[in-house]
Amino acid sequence: MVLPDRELRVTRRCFIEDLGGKKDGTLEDVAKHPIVRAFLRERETKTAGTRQVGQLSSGKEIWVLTQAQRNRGGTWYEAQREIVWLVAAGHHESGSQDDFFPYCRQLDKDRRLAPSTEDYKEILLAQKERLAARILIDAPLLRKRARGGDGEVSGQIGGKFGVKVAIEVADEIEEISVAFDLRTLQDPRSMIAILAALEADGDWEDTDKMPTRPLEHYEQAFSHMGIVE
Amino acid sequence: MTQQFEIKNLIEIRVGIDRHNERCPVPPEAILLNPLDFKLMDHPRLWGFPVLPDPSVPTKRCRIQCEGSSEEIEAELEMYEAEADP
Repeated sequence: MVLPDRELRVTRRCFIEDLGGKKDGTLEDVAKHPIVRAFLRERETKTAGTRQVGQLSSGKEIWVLTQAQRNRGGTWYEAQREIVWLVAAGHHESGSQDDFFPYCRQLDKDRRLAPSTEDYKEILLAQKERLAARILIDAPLLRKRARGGDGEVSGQIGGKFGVKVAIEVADEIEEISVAFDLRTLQDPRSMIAILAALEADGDWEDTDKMPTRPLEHYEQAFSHMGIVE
Repeated sequence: MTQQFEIKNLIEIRVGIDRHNERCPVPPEAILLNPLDFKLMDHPRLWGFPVLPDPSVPTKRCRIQCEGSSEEIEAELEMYEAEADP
């Protein structure tokens, strides 16, 4: 789940072992679990709680989620990535063999509490999918601005790629020129994805200028000609 | 039309194309919109496909036209239901 300020994620281990999710399941499958509901509710606005799981050998700050009398969850805020993780869920019953707190400590000792390599691989995959989806929506919006504007328009595609677009129309022929700012975009695959989002089967050609100016040293540009619809 | 409304419609249209491509081996020829939505959206082309007004398409819906189109495989889906802010 992605929220405006941060992302809320559940580790695979917690999802399967603690919440009873299936290997290929999604968070929606366990959305009614009391700790998941508490997680989505409490960590939407706060990255921390009021109490931590103590005596963890990793030294990680695991904040306790409390739901009803016995349901407990553990969350970890990964500041660098702006992600709050639900890392464990269980029941609290002092003295019980499967009490949540010693359970968390054992997971931590076994290095199974923190997000795993698999969790980070999933993040990368999700980020790529989100970027691809954003490119598909941002590109036509920028193209529309260029069509309605007078001359060149600049914008960001995918939230980070600097792109300038100019559209010239003459005798039912439309030429669209696109200049990429290579300071923000190094991967040629992103360029290809953006050009495809502008004109999927377009015959894009390299160009050494935009309609009204030469290229800057940090730019690479392409143009495409088509018939005005 | 607010940009948020436009973005939601673009997402719905894109989903329609992807669904069509999953079900039909023939590539889309055009995206058909009700003339009112066509005017409101103001995108003559999307992702390389022409966008065309078609009065037979209900408002807030889009239809993906392809050579293999028939009633059964034509992708018709509801566009975002909310009204655009004035």
